[in-house]
This record gives sequence, C-alpha cells and structure tokens, in this order.
Amino acid sequence: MSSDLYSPSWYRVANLSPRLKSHAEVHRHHYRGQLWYVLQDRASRRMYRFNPSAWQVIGLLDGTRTVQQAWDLACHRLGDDAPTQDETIRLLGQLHGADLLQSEIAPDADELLRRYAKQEKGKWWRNLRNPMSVKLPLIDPDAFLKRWVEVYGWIFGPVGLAAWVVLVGAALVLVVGQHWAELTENVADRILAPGNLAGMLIIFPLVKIIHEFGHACAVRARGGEVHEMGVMFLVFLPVPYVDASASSAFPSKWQRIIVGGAGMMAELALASIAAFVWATVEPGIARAVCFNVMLIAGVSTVLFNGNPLLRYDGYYMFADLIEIPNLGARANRYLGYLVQRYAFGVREMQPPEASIGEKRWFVPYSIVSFVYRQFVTFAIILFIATQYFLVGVLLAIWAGVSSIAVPFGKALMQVINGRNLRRQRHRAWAVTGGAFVVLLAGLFLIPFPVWTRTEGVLWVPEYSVVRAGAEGFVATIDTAPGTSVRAHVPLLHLEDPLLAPQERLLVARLDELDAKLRAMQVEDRVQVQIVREEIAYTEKELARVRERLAGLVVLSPVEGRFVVANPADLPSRFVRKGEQIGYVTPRDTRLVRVVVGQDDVDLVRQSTERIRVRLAERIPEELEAVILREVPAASGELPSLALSERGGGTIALDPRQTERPVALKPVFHFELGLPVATGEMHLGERVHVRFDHGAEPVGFQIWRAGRRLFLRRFTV
Amino acid sequence: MSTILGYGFYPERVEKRENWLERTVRKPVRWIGRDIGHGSRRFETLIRHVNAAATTVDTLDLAGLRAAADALRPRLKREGFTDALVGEAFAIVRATAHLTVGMRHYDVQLAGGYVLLTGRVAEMETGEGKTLTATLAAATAALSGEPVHVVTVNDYLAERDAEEMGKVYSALGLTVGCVTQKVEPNDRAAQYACDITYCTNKDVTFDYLRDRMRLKGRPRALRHAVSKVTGVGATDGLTLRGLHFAILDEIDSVLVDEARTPLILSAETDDAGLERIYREALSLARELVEGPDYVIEHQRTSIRITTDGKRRLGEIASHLRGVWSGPNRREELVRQALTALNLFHRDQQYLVAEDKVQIVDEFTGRVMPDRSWEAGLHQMIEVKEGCPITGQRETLARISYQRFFRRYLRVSGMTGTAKEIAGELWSVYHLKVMRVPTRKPVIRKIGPIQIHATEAEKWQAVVESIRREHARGRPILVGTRSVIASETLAALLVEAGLEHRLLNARQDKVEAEIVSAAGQPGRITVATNMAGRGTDIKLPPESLAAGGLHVIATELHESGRVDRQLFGRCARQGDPGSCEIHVSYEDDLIVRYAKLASGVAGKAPGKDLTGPALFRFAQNRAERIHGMMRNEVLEMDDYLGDMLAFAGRPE
Repeated sequence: MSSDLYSPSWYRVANLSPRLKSHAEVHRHHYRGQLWYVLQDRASRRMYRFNPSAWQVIGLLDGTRTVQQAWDLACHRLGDDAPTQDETIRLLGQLHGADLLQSEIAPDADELLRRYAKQEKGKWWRNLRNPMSVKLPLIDPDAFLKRWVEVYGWIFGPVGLAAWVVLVGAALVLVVGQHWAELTENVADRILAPGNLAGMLIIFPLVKIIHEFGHACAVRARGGEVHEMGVMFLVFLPVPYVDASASSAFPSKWQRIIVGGAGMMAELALASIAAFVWATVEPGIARAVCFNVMLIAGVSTVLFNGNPLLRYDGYYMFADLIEIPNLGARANRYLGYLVQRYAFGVREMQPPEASIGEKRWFVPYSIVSFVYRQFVTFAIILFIATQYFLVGVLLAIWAGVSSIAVPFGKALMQVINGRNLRRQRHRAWAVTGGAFVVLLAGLFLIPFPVWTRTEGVLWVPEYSVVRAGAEGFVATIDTAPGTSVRAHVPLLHLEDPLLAPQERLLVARLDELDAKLRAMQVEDRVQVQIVREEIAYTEKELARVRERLAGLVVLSPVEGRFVVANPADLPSRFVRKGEQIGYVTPRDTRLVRVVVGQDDVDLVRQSTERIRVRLAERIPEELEAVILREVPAASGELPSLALSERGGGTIALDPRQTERPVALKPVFHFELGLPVATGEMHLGERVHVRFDHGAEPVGFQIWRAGRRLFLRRFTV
Repeated sequence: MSTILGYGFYPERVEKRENWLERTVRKPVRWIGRDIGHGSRRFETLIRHVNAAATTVDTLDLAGLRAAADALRPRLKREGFTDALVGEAFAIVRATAHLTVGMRHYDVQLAGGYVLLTGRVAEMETGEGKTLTATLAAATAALSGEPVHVVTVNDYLAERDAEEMGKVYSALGLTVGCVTQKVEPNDRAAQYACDITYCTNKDVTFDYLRDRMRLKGRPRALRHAVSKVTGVGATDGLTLRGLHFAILDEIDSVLVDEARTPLILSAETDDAGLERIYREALSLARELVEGPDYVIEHQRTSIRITTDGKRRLGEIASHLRGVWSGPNRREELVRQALTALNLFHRDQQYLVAEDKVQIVDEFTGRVMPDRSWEAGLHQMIEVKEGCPITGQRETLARISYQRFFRRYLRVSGMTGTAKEIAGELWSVYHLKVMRVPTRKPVIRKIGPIQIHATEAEKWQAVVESIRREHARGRPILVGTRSVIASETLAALLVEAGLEHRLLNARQDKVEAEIVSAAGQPGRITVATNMAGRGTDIKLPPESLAAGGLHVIATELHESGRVDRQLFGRCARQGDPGSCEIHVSYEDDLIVRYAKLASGVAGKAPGKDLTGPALFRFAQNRAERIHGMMRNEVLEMDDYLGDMLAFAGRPE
C-alpha cells in the first residue's frame, strides 16, 4: 500500500481525541544504537515497539488534543520525519487492535466482536497447526516469586553470577575433565537402555521445572511480573513453561539476555552439583540419577535450548544480543518483501522498517532457521514413527501441512490474490512458475552423478593360493618368499619323517608278497587269490604314500610373486595338508573383494557404469576396475575383518556371533579386477570403491532414497 | 415468495462481512452468474395469473381499480408476494396505466416487472419500455406498504418518470415523490415520505450520508425510541425512512461503472498558505522532464518520480523552505502536480466554465458540478488553469455506490446490457440477472469493425459514412468517447458542410430533447456515448422508410457494454436500424491497454485480420482491470473499516 502524505480516510480520525489506556507502560530502549519506545500492555502481556517519530504522535495524543492537532504539531516539530496521515491512521489502528487506545467515541462493536472471534479461532488454529506444543496454563506464580525475591534475588546479581561461574567451572574441570573417559564410554548404549529411559522420563520434567523457575526468578529479580506458568506438551512429553514476556520491557539487553539464559544457567548449576555427587557416590541408583541429570541439564540444554535456530531460549538471547527484537518473524517478512520487491517487481512496496545491519541478519537467518527447523521436526517425527508407526505418519502429515504446505500455500495465495501484487500479477506468476519449473527441472531433468561408495580388500584368486599337498615340516625353502617364480616350480620342500620308511616298508612288503605268490602259485589256488588281493591293497597303499611324498614338494600354482605372510616362521613349521602357506600373486590379475550392503546392491548390479578404486595406501591414485564375479546371494560373511567396524571399516558385526565375524546385516560380495599395471600392493589392504551409476536427476535419487528409508524403517 | 419489508426504525441491511469461504469462492465462481436465468416458465405462470385476474380487472373503471387496489393492500401485507396476488396487482396496475397514460404493459414488461419485484436484474433491450415496466414492481411493492425508491441516473429522467408515471400511481392511491438536485433540503423528507420516490442515485446517496451524519452513524431503533421519549439526541430531521426497496434504472452504470466513485460529503475550509504551495508545486513540476525525471505508468493512471528526478527536485527546491525541506512531502506534492499536468487534460477530464474547474464524467461526458478531486489535486488543476482556487474541502463522510446500494434490503434493477457483468452482479451484490425477451425480434444490422491506421483517417472515414447515410435521408447518431473527440468531429462536419447538432457535457433536459429529436430524417447528431441515456429516439415514418437510425461508433469504449448501449439506440422495438464501428490504432483503448500487442500486430490498415482480435483483447483487458479495481475498492473498504474501528462505525 502506498504511504501517501494525505489519506482520504483522514476525516474519520481527524476530530477524535484518543489517548493511550492507562495500563500501558512505556520504556525507552536502544536497539542497534537507535532509540525506540516499547509499549508494554500489562493486561495482554504483549509488547509494541515504536520509533521516536511515531511515538511523538502517540505522546501528543493526551485525550485533549485531536488527532489533527497532534499530527500538525508532529509535522511542525519533525518535518519530514513525521509520520504521514496513512501511517498515523495505521498506527492508531494498531494501537486499537492491541486494545490500547481509548477515545471519546465508542468503537465499532462489530469489529471488536470480529476481532475477538478471530483471535479465538487463531488460538485454536495455532494448537491445531502445532500439535506438538500445546500450552496449558496452570498457575500464577507472581505472588510466590515476589515474596521470595529477597531470598533468591542475589543470585542474579554479580555475586550470584560469580558463584555460578565458580560452580560450573569447578564441575567442568574437576569432574568432567578427570572422568571424561568414564563419562563418555559407551554413552549411546547407556542412555538408550530401557531402564535408563524410564529414569530420564521422570527426571526430565523435574529438571525443566528448575529451568523455568530460573527464568521466572530472573524476571522477578529485575522487577518484572510473571503471571503464567503451566504445562506444554512438547512431542507429547509434558514440559513446564513460564511466561517471561515481561522481560522484554527491560531496558538493558544484558538483563534480557540473563533472563533468557537463566533457565540454562539454572540447569547447568544443577548439572554441576550432580557431577560432584556422581563423582563421590558409589555406583547405584543415586549415581545413575546424577548421570541423567548431568546429561539432561548439561548436554541437552545446551544443544536444544541454546540453539538460536530453534525458537527456544537461545533464539531470544541471540535476538537480544544482536539487538533485533522479533528476529524470526521480521526476517521472514523481510525475505517476503525482497521477493515481492525484486523478483515480482512491486515498486510501490514499502520496505519493512529495518536498519541495514538488521537486514544483513534477516536473509541468512530466515533461510537457515527454516531448513534447520524442518530438519529437526522431521528427525523427531522419524524417531517417533519407528516406535509408533501410525502416530508418526499422522504427525508427519501434520508437520508437512503446517510447516511446509501452509506457509507455501499462503505465499501462493499471495501470488494469486495478494493486493499489492495486483499490478505485477503476471510477473509474479511468471517468476513463481519459473522458479517452480526451474526447481522441477533441477530435480527431474538435470542429471547429477549417482554413486555407491563402499570398501573392500585386496584379494587373490583361489587358484593362486599356495597350499600344502601333505602334512609335514617345512624342510627346505627352494624359493625365497617375495621373489618371482614361474609356474610349477618347487617353492618348499616339506618333510615327513614317517613317510620315507613307510614307503620302504611297503616296497619290501610287496617284494615279500610277490615271492609268496610265486611260491604258492602251483599249490593252492585259494591262497593265491588271497595274496593277490593283499598285493593290490599294498600297491594302493604305496601309491598313497608316494602321493603324499610328492605332496611334500610345494609347487607354485601360477607364475607370479611368492608371498608368505610371515616368512620368518616358515622354516621347520608344521603344516597340515591343504593348509594355506602363502600366495603366488599372479602378475596379470589383481582382485578386490568388495562387500555391498543390501540397500545398494540393486543399483550396483543394474546400473554400474564405471568403478573407481582407491587403495588405502595410495589414496590420491585412482584406479579403474571391472566386476569379475558376484556372489548372487547375501551372506553375513566378511572377506576380511578390516571391513568390520571392529577392524576400522564400516560394517557392523553381529554381537551375538562370537566365534567368527558375521555382519549384522547381510552383505553381497563382488570381485573386482584391477588393471595389470597397478604396481605394488599388499593383500588384505583396504580399498575404497566407488561404483558410478551414471547420472540421474536429483528428484529420482531423493525418491529412491526416501522410499528405501521408508521401507527399511517401517518394514512395510 | 419474498416477504414484505419495511417495519421498524430506519431499516437497512447490515453489512455482513464475507467469511473465508465466500471470499475464496467468489472469484472462481464468477462465471456462475454469467449463466443468465431465462425463467420463461415462471414468466408464463405469472402471465397466466395476470390474465386470469384481468378478466375482471380490465372491466373496471378508475374508481373500481382504486377500490381493487385498496382491497389488495391488506392481502399483500398479510400473504406477501404470492404469484396469485402479484398477478392480480400487475393486472390492476396494467389496467390503470392503460386508463391513465394510455399505455398498456406488454407481456414482456409483465415479466420484467416480476423480475424487479423479486429483487433481480432484468436485462431488457433498450426501448422495451423500462420506465413503464418499473411501475409494476414499484406499485405492487408500494401497495404492500414498502417504501420504494426508483433510482435513475439523472435529474431529467427522475422528473420525467415521476411526472409521467405519477398519474398511474395516484390513480391507485399511492403518493409519488421526486428528489432531484433542485429539491430543497427541507422538502426532501416529504418527498421520501411518499410511497414511491423517484430520485437520482447521487441524491439518494448524499441524503443517506447526511442522515448518517445526523445519527452519528448509529441508526438504532432503541436509541430512536429513547430519544423520542426523552427528547435527548433527537433523531427527527432525518431525510430518508430507511433503505427498503430500490429499483435501479441503468443498474450497470450505477453499480459497475460508477461503483468506484466515492461520494464525498464535504465542507469547505480556508487555508491561505495552500495556494502558494500549489503554485510552487506546479512550477517545480514543470521543470521536470518526462523520461529522465518521471515516468507515467499503469495505463496512464499514475506517475512515478525516478531517482534522478528526486535528486533534481532536491536541487531545484533547495532554496524553498517549509514543506519543501523534507523530501517525502516535496515529492508527494510534486507528484500530484505532475498528475495534474500530465494525466488531466482540459476538455477531457474537466471543463473550465465560469472560472471554475468542472469535472467531466468520462463515461457520460456530463459535467459533475459538485464533485471535486482528492485534496490538492483539484486545487492544482485550478492553479494550472488560472482559476481562483477553491478552498480545500474537508471530508465529512464518504461512501461508494457499491457499498451504499448493498445496504438496501432489496435491490433490483434494469439495464439493456447486463450479460457482461452478470458474474460481478452475482458475486458482489448477490443479484441474479434474468433476461427478458423482446416483444418483437431485433433487426439491427451491425457492420464489421473498420480499422484505420491513424486517427485522422478514421475521422475522414466517419465523415464519409455520415455523408453517405445522410444522402439517403436517414437520421444519424455518432457516438464519441470524449468531449474533445465530439468537438473534433463537429469541426470536420462543419468543414464538410454537413449540418449537425453537437451534444456534449450539457445537462439533462436539453440533452434529452436533442436526443429525442435525433430521429428526424436526415438529422445528424454527434454525442458522447452515454448522452441521453434513458431517452427514446422516436422515429417518424419517413425515417423508418429511409432505413431507420444509423449509429456510428467512432471508438470502442473500455467497456463493451457502453458500446452495446450506443448500438441499442437504433433498431428499437422491431424498428429497422444499423450500426457501424470505426476504430484506429491510435485510439486510447489501444494505447492504454494493448500498446505492446498492437506493436506486434503491426499497423497495416484495412483488412488486417489481427485487428478485431486486438481490439477485443484490449477491451477484455480493460474490463478485467476495472473489475479488479472495483473488487479492490471493496476489499480496501473492509480493511479500512477494521483499521478505523476505533473511530466508530463507518458511515
């Protein structure tokens, strides 16, 4: 709307002589070096901020002057800074809307009723839109706080602050510093243990009560009034809240920041005390409780309440710190203005009142906090959904509607219907549509590379394994480990001291049987038959022994380099038949054994265009690989412990299997071949593998990832 | 059927705020109203009832009719507008009209009367006797005890209709009042106290505003009763009795064309210092150059001072004090001065007569002596034209037609051209349009649009056409869009030696006489489009023989309705008649609404096929923009109402 100097509606107000209602209190504040007047409505506990020129007009309206007189005076005094008639009317309208204006004429009762109905509806909608934080006011703690202010008041003074610093500092240094390992060991398991969760559920509200009293006392200690305390259902968890809005009237920003931080400070003090107790008592319930208190009051507070991107204490402290009251809403409004003014080209648009310094904060804050809030919301919902599927889905729909569909729908309605876009409607449509098309194109047309990353180990083909043909002691080493050999060249000679005599024995026995046969041939046909059988048996026995003897010479299976894990152990070592002694790594084949999780296996199988491999030892060097073989079934087996979490890899092991390492979730094995000219490699070495699946638009990628997440989480 | 209205103190419709649903639905369902109800079956039923009653009624003399009317009153009050009673009432009115003024309602007029009585809009071809049709509804409602306002667009029509139809009403025992500008304020209450009051839209709205001022915005029955008893805060001295039933003649022009114009009740104030400021503003504005310093935007409706212009202004004004020291004030005043210089032109938007700047209605070409533009602008135009400056007028109350007429408990109306705005009438006023069939088939011949490259060519062609038709002895009516255009044409006709009568920006009676005489054979009349609306152009037999009235449109209007109204001047009631349309690429319509498109379409004269489409496009666009603006005014009213709630109820 244009802000003309003269307003055609001026006649409606010119002869009124309104004034502020008496319950409104005024405070002078400085924000970013500028003077502002903050009007505090003690009845509705709301604040209104006016710049000095607007205040000039309000101040002149004392119930005896008419609006016309006040405006003329203001124009006379302020010259061009005086508000225009339009602005003055809007200002009075706002004051009336806040029920702060009183004049000799009865206001339009219809409008009052309409506004009341709208407010009621608004409250209802707010709860509906945000079912995760429904407020239920319970008590008015003001009288209590006022009586006790002498007792706790000092805490919020310099002495109290110093004491707090000492307490928290001591806890940090003495307990947390010294017991760091003990405190952090296996945290996730300890926190999520069912018994502990129950304990936390009880402790959490108690800690938060202390938190809220921190705020309340801080406000009261500075003379502010606290009239509302109650329970809020944050994600169905009852959490106390307190209305500390009186603090926004405090003139010093540090006072406001202290109020904002008082809750966290109270919690940190509590956590510190708990830390000392934890360090001194024996393990048991008391200690567990202290641990939980430290966790909730120490860690979660700082992470959640202290975060300026969420609308908790940290946000208010942050806004006070950078002296931009109502940062979130104004940042969004400013962003909306920028879009309308520059993207839609609405020239007549009045920029929201903000200094340059403020504007610099607005854009990044608006975007970052929006994204972060969505992230947190959906993370919480996902967490709930894994426990209670239906509730989670309902919540997700709700959150989707209230935090994405509603704001974007409103923005769209603005484009369709918005009054200030009337002259730029076509451009607004074009820009919105264009942005949408670009977004869709970006999502569904422009391909982005897709890949799967996994790990593997360097492997050798089965035929290159050097195995003992028979059992025995290593006698001689014909080929030194680490040297190259041709195929079928003896590598080792084993020795079995029993075999040679056995052979000799059997040979002799054969001779004996032979002689026996010849002697009996003419007399007893039955005996002859027996001896013949015996000879056959002994011959077989001999053949076996000879075979074992032959097995004592270990030959190289292929041409390549003879590799033994521990060459020094080799001499005189006893090896069993079939035992793996070492490898002869072939020159032409380099294998990588890769495991792929079942989520990704489909993609790897169906659409792998290129495989790139980096060796753990030589990360900068990238190698091309090809799939040689794949095991069609999933198994828990791992080719090497190096791939498991225990071995520094990424695959979780099943803790129930103690005998051998088994992956928690089934994996698929692939064998990749590396190029020949790869250079020196160590078997069992970790290899980072990237399967390139070509390019695909991000939209489809997100769709697949979301679908996978959904399927896995909810096993539907 | 409808119930009878009209009890209690100062009844009027309480404005109901649209809720979310209505607001949302309103825009997308505009097309619903476009489906104009024909309702022929209802008409048949009614006509059957009328004819049934007529068998006895038609035999009565005036005294008998009066007695029948009197007998009908209590029954109407008791039973409401049932089909049978309405039929009887219509039969009585028809017979009375026949005996008193010698006009008997045709069946189509009965249908029209029924549409009016039920609070709808009757779309009737021009010349079908709307004045007579209104008597049916007005008399029937008045018999039931409802005060009726028959609202016309000018004083002449109000007076004429009140006088002509007054005979019918008085024969029925109904009193008739007439409120025009001439009627003294003291006399007005008496006129409104009549059963049926003929008035103009402007007068009734201003009278209402005055009443609201007197009531301090609260016409409350209880307060009235209390003040009657106690004598405190007397409520007498009111002009109107309330807003019961309004029958609007030319409803489209009142509710749509003039809807946005706020009627402002104002008092003059004195401020000597202002004149100097206005002079300075104008002299500063004259030093700025269009292009680098300021830009004319939005179909030539607003001006924007560029950054360079603002800087230059700062330099020029640096020696001035007071208001000129602050940039905002300075720029605002100079912007207004630029508006006065660039967007308002003598003889188009205003006339200067007797050292006074008088606003000319762009639609009617009529002077509106009481109106003035917003604060400052009017005075700057006065300074520009060297007239003595009038005092700044201080607004006391304002209301727009669209808000005012929505306060009537029942509104109905008549027009020749409603189909374009049926959607809007439905969504804004909840008025349904019903098309009333013509008595005889229309045999009007409308020629194709003739497109000329330049304005000069167009005028030449128009003169040629006039010469051609004039030679045949046909009466010719030429419609122009603005006063200046009519004068241009008049000069050309003088040059061509064609005798003609020029009609523009003059008032009522003369206007109507000129128009009604426009049917004489060989008569050439040049008039602004809307001049003489509501007056029949009667054709003598010689004219009819020559082919009836020939209408030439010299420009397409922003609203297609206005064009149709002009065409409706010929070929009335089955008479022969024809129209032709001349337009050029230099017309205001194209320059304002299709500049870009016309550039694309090329300016080849003659049989360019893109031509008619281009003009239709421009017209559509113009109508859409105007509709949007009307809607905005409504929304703005609501918004302001809320914001200004602390200042009490709006007027």
